[in-house]
Amino acid sequence: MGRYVIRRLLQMVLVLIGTTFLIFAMVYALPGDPFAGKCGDRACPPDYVAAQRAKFGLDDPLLIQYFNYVKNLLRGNFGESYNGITVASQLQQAIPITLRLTALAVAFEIVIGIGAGILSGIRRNGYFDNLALISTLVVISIPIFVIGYVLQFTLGVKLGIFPVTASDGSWGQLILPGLVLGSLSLAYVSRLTRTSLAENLRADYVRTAVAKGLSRTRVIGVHTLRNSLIPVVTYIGGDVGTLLGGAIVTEGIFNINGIGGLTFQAIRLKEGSLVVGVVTLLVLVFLLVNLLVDLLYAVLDPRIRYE
Amino acid sequence: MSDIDASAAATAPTARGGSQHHEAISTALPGRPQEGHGEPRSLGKDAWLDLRTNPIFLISATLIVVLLTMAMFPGLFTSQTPESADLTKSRVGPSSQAWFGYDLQGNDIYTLTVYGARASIMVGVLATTITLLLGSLAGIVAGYAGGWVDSVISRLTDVFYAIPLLLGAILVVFAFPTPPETPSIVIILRVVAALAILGWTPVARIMRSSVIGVKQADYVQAARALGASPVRIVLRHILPNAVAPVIVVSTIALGGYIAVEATLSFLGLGLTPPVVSWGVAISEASTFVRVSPHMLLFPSLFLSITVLAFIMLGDAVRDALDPKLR
Amino acid sequence: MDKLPAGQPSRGSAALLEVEDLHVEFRTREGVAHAVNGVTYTLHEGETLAVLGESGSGKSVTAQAIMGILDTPPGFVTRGEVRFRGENLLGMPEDKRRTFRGRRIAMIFQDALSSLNPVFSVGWQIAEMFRVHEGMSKKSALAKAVELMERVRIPAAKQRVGDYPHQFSGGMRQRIMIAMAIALDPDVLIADEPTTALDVTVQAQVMLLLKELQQESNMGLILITHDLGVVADVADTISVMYAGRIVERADVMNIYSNPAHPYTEGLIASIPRIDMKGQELYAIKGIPPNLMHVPAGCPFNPRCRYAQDICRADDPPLYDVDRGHRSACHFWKEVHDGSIG
Repeated sequence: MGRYVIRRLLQMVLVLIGTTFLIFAMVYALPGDPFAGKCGDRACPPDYVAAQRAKFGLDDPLLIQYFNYVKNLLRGNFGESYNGITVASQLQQAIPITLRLTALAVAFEIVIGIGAGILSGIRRNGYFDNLALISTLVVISIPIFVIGYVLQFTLGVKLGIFPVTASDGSWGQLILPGLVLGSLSLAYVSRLTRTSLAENLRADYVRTAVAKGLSRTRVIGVHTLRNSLIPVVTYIGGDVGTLLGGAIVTEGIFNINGIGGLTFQAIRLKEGSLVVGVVTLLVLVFLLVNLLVDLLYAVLDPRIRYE
Repeated sequence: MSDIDASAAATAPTARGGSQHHEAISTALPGRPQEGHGEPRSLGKDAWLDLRTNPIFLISATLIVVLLTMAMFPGLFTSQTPESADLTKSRVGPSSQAWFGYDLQGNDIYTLTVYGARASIMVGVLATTITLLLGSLAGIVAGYAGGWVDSVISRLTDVFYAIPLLLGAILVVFAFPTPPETPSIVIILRVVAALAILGWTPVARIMRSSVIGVKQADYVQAARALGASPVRIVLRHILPNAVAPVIVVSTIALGGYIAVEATLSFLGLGLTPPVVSWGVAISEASTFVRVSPHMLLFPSLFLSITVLAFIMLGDAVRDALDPKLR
Repeated sequence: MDKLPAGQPSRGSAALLEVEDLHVEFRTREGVAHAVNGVTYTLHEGETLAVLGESGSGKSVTAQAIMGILDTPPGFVTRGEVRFRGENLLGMPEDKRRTFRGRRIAMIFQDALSSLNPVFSVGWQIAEMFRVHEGMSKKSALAKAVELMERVRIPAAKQRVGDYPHQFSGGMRQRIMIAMAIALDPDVLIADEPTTALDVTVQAQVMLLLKELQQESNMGLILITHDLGVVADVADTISVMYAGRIVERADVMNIYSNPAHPYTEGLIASIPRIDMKGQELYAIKGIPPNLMHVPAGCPFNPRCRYAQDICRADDPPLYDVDRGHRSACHFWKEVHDGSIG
């Protein structure tokens, strides 16, 4: 197990370096003015440009620039917007709200997604299965912002069941946005669970379990489920990236003051530095979550531990 | 975007290592065609037979043909053009003259939607084509060559794979800002680039694992022993077998790209006016969603149906090609 | 019922398992495959019955039908009875049937790696038999599991009880499956190709183990295999299957020395022999029939060197050759006489 962990950590470091370099190169190092379009519709104020150039050593050779960039990232310095506000300070209040939103989304994914997937998987081609297949297809096809507006309009404005905006960021207000955020992933989780379960039900070890005289409930609930959920759990973990991207849209629609909402406003105002800073942070978070998921995978599947 | 991940998870060849547990009822004798059954059947033929009668395939294929026609010849579907705006009709709801109503500038929404198909679908098709080519090339080279070439390409794939599609697309857009007078084609290409830069990785992974799987096959070893050149081996032996999962994933991804483009446009980062696209229309409509929901509804409907059609198509093809589901 | 001294086929005692005129078909999109066509055999206490046949002969399907683990659909039992100590298993409702599975009739399979659940430890899987069927506590069940692992001679059982299937070698895994199967001291053990996936030396060890276990508990053993070599030391009776039918049935000695069916004759002749070095290997010409289109008359007739018109018209019944020796061949006498002397 230890070897596996070390290997994954090393891989992760490689990927982190590669990703940060890629982002850095794309945004700052390509020929052209790195400050074009980063300060709204006008050009950046000259003193800001001068300060940034000095701070980030933009006249230095490429590699040194990159090292400085990484150094700053590690210190938590994700950049500043042109009116001098650092990205980091704005994030402090926003993070807990987004965490709550994401937690709700994941909860919906697990409960509704896995639940529906199990029900469809045990009776493939049954009534529920077909219903689930169709509804998940529909949900997958509708882009998240459409779902957001439609649900906001119907459940919020027209029927008044949920609050229309969530400016507080309290749990109650985040339920509908959480559902919206998790909707796309929920549909995938459901289908994946279904497929995984159906596949495992045909496995040889299921035949053995039946031959042992175990009840159908036990064969499915204990033997098959454990195996089937492995890919689902890893998927949910890896899907955090989509959730982070989707949070930008969801928080924008529902006026939530989380990281996504921040980014949404910054995009609207074309504050490039802020956007790039936050998105970089989100990417790094995503990578870390991926690492955790990989480690979790080893806990769930004993075969991996001894590779 | 994770839909590609999910379909990759579901379609990538799973080495189960176990025997199929009903004792093989050989319905076809090895090599010798059975009288009354006609020619020996291949997977492709079986798949086509399946698809021909599959209602999902038929519906989605028809829809896609209609949409493609709409994209290429919008004039067939509407007599007006997106420039014929009538400000007096601003935000008027649906009526018998204008089935979908009018938008903020007084454009007929039906016309907008029809013309919007072009940009949206073009982005999707271009992005998919590029990712298919790039990804397949990378995957084939990595899988076939092996060794350090494989390592380098795989690490590269890991790095790009690590960035979520939407977030990465946002970064790309900010990395290449366009001054206000850029021609539409450049704007469209920027969005395509944003999608393609990140979208090639799942294709590369699948292609690589397919190639590795097929490379071990006896008939490939035989071809090599006979002195066939690597190019020939790849084209004639490896590609036909490795291509199926890639096609499935790409079809589904196409739908995904159209959806992401719409999201980007909604954020103001993708296509922008004067380019007409569904995302743009939805973006403008969003501010008025409570007062004039029809502005949002119709482009959303078309968008969703298009994405749905591609996903259904990909699904149907995957089910038809998967021998395990028989 | 008194148990007979170990090692003797108790033909005198009552039957343990009786399969009578079993018919199983598989209904697929392309047609109906007749996998089992009127199979009848009987297993007595302490007896080792080997069911011999190539893949597609129906031997595994019969076993699955006995256990009640046939995939339905597409498999359907269309005729026949399976009686365990007189009770017909096929007529029973499923929950009653389930009480026999694992407890009274157990089964082990060919590929132990895929047949064991990869995410649970072997100890957990063996102990499950005790926890579920006997309601034992986790601790006691695990202790029993260690006992069983020792009984099937897995070294360092106590330390390895928490290991996972993929951490064991092929032969060990098969022993674990055996341990699981004999956990509740079943009356019948069905072994479906237990050694096919193993190395030759390991094969011998596992077969020896099976035989010992059988003699200790006097259980009936049904050994399903295609390998004539494996069967000779271990079996008491052999039933040869072809195209879903039993074509010959005899004591182990008679099968090898005096086969009375062309197929059996062919099988024996195909065994490579060390004293025939340098000569061409013999193989029965032709291939097994497509189960959807079994030839009329005797199913073996297209490949048979004795075949005459009657063979293409009439499906032969099981003729009596000798005491306990029967053959489904119109010309059994020619085959039998030809093989003696």
